[in-house]
Amino acid sequence: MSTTLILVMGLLGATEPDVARQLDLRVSEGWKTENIQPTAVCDDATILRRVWLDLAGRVPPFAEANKLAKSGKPQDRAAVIEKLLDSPEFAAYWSRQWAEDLLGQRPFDQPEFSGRKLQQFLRESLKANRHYDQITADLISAEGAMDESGAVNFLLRYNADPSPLAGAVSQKFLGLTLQCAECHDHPHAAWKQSDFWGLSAFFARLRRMNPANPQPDEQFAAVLERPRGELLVIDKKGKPDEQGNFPTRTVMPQFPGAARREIAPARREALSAWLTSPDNPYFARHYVNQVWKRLIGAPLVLTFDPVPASAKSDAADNKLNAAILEHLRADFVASNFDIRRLITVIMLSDTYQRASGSSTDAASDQQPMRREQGLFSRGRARPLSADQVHLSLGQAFGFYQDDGDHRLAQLTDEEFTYDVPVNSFGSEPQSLGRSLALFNGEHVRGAVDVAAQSLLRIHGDAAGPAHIRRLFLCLLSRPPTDEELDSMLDLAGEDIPQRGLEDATWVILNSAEFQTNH
Amino acid sequence: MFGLHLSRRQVLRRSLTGSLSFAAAPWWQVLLAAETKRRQARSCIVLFLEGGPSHIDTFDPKPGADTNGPFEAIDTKIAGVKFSQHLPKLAEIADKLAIIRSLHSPEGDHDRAASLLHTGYQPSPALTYPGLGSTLSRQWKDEASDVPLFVSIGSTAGPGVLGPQFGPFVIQDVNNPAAALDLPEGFGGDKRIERRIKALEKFNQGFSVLAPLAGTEDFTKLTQRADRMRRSQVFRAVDLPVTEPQLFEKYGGNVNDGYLARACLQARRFVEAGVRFVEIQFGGWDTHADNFNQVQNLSASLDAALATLIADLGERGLLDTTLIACFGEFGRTPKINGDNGRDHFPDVFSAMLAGGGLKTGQVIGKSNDTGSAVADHEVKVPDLHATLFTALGLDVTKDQFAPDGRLLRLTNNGQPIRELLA
Repeated sequence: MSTTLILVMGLLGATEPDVARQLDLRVSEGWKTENIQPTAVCDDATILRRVWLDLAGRVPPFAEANKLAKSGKPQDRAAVIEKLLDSPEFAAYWSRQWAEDLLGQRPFDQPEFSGRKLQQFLRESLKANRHYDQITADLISAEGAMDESGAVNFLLRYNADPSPLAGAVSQKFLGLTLQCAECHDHPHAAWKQSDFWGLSAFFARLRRMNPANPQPDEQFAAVLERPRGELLVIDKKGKPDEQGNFPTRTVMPQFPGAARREIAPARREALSAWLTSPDNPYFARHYVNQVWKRLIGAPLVLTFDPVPASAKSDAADNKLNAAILEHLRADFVASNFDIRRLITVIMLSDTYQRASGSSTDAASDQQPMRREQGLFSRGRARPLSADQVHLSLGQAFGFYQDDGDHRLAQLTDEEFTYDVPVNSFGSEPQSLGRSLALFNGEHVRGAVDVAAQSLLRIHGDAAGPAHIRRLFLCLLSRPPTDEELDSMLDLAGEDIPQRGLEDATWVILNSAEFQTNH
Repeated sequence: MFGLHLSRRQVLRRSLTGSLSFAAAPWWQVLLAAETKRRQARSCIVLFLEGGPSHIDTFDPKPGADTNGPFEAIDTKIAGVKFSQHLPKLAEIADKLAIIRSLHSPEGDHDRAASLLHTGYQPSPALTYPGLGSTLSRQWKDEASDVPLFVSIGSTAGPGVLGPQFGPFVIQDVNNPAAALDLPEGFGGDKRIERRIKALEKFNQGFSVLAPLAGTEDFTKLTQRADRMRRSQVFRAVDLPVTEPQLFEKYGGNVNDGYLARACLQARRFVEAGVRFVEIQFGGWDTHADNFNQVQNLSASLDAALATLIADLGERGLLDTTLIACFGEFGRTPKINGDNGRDHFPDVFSAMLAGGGLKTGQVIGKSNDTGSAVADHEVKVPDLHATLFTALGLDVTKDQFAPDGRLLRLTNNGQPIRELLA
């Protein structure tokens, strides 16, 4: 079938593999003029690890890696993806990241809002495969108490206050930096102050309620919407009174970048409807861009703010990326914002599955490689987040540092009170802090100890090939090469078995291979 | 150069710019080239007053104006220049300070403004600009020393687009700067550690992924650096106020919680040990309510710590080679609000510089009578950064490139402040 034919077949009734193939064709358009050879699609073990880290935030369990290593049959990649999307681990891990995005901080409980309740709401929504537009509408229109409505905690995070909410909504759901227009017209985009205040006015009737006589340690807040009231802003262009105070002026709701028009009395419903309309120029594109960034490692578009033409660069790349984005957007909208379908389409594509190694002998010259990465002809190794390291150690050895933290590690329950992953490994991957934590942190010390003990318990108390093989499958999802096996046995043989295996585990944990999703 | 791989086009562009700037060499290049009597700064300590300190209640009082508030203004060692009454020690050594009173910035939001003051660029979703410490770390070669080039006591801006190898070593708890370095019990001796590192180097070589963000070499290097730091005594020695108890008290060890005293004393010791950029976060300046009590308290810490740091560095012969800069993300409104507070105000605010071979004992620029606008010699944030870079011996006009190949100059067209450097 010719490229054109596949591309014009359109999206109507297209299956996920169809849309993935079309995506690959669009991506490959970018290589023609530069004669770029893509890397091969990577092997089953690498894909298994990649998909698990991306969807469940942790390396695959030993049993799965072992089964794959032994089977000799090609793995059904679509089935792996489907099963994981259906797992509680996916809902838990993605809701955690999503809550962090929405809150702009780690999803813990604060006096003003409950990050855990928000995450719980997102987790249940993902579990039920509710679509992105429905979840968004719930967040925008939420009402009630912080411990009853999970969604209302998004509004509470921004104080149920019109201007912070306008900033958050434009940033989180549209990928725009409208908040810069709070005080002045946007310095380098086309936004006007009126766009910002018009968006704020949708939230003008919200009220944040706190208890009159709070109990000690009581956390309580709620959001109510009053039937009337308008947003008043200070009019700096007006004439100040004798004390130098500027007059105020009433601002009515108005969609950013759109002409003024009558807004229905249920303001937040009207805002949700505008946001989630298939015609909204930003909503679906922004989400697709976010998911792409999460799975591929770099966004397709850096900003959706309308920038002056003079500030644009690299027109060819922009056009290619815009075409990829449009392709995925169209399918996402046609599927009524089905999050799982969007993820499946990307993961089934060769683009997602390409090896991150070098295709040619380009190792000595990183410049062309960066270029090829920009054109998605090879995978992009991504350093693991603190959550991914933490969850992977739990997956591999059942070690979570804090006993009470088992449930956090399952990420199916948010009953945690402090941030073990970031406290243990630092927030910055591939940094001096992370390297020190992996070098001599208490957490790693404990994990290494537990790993060596269990290897000896399972495979006998003299360190041999079986021990090393299991260690590799647990952490790297692949068996060792002969050479690796030899040198690990040499290392482990330098000391008594427990200590020797601790050394081997330490080396793998500190390795570049373990520390990246490659 | 700078561990960068340059394309032919970039090399060409570089040399072109080089020859052009030679043809029309601006005054500071002449200055740098001549390497005049001025001794070049080697290290830099930035004291970041997080929250945005009131300029009127610190370095730019407005005695007699309605906006001044209750603080008195006192004379300083610079004739005709007054500070707030709560900065008496700094007033006493004002001849060793340079005050900029005409900073002007477009950013009034904490995060955006803090980012601008740290990076010299307005934040952009398209590119994460590196902070000052990271930009400098990239210019300075890491001479395989035991200490990192860049230490931050409290949080700071990261390396952004430059990559993690230029990031700071962050000390979260000033009371335990070596918290991350001690080996847990039962870890084993040096021999065992050497064995592990050797095996790790070999194992990493086998991993063929070579991506810009995940080069295997970077991971190996990071582990080696972690090991060097762990073995060094520096981080264990910096936090021993008991070895200099009287000095610690002079730094303000008994003022408030003693945080800033501890941090500044550590900064001096870090500089002595070879750290080239130290940032200290000193928060609490976001005084929307009860501004005057809070600023008075904060000033007590600031006055003792900063004045003693300058004197201490001077006594050790390190002041000329150590540049000190103190600023926050913006100033505060001249108008006092209903809560006796002042709100965010980026239109005009102050910064304080010292050491580093700068021409001190002077005030740059002026705000108007009420402290509500720049009256003379507007200084933009990139100009402030350009001044710091130039004092540290760097040429801000030279084209620089980010690791991904895009043009990224040291500052966003900043012009060094001539009066401070000449």
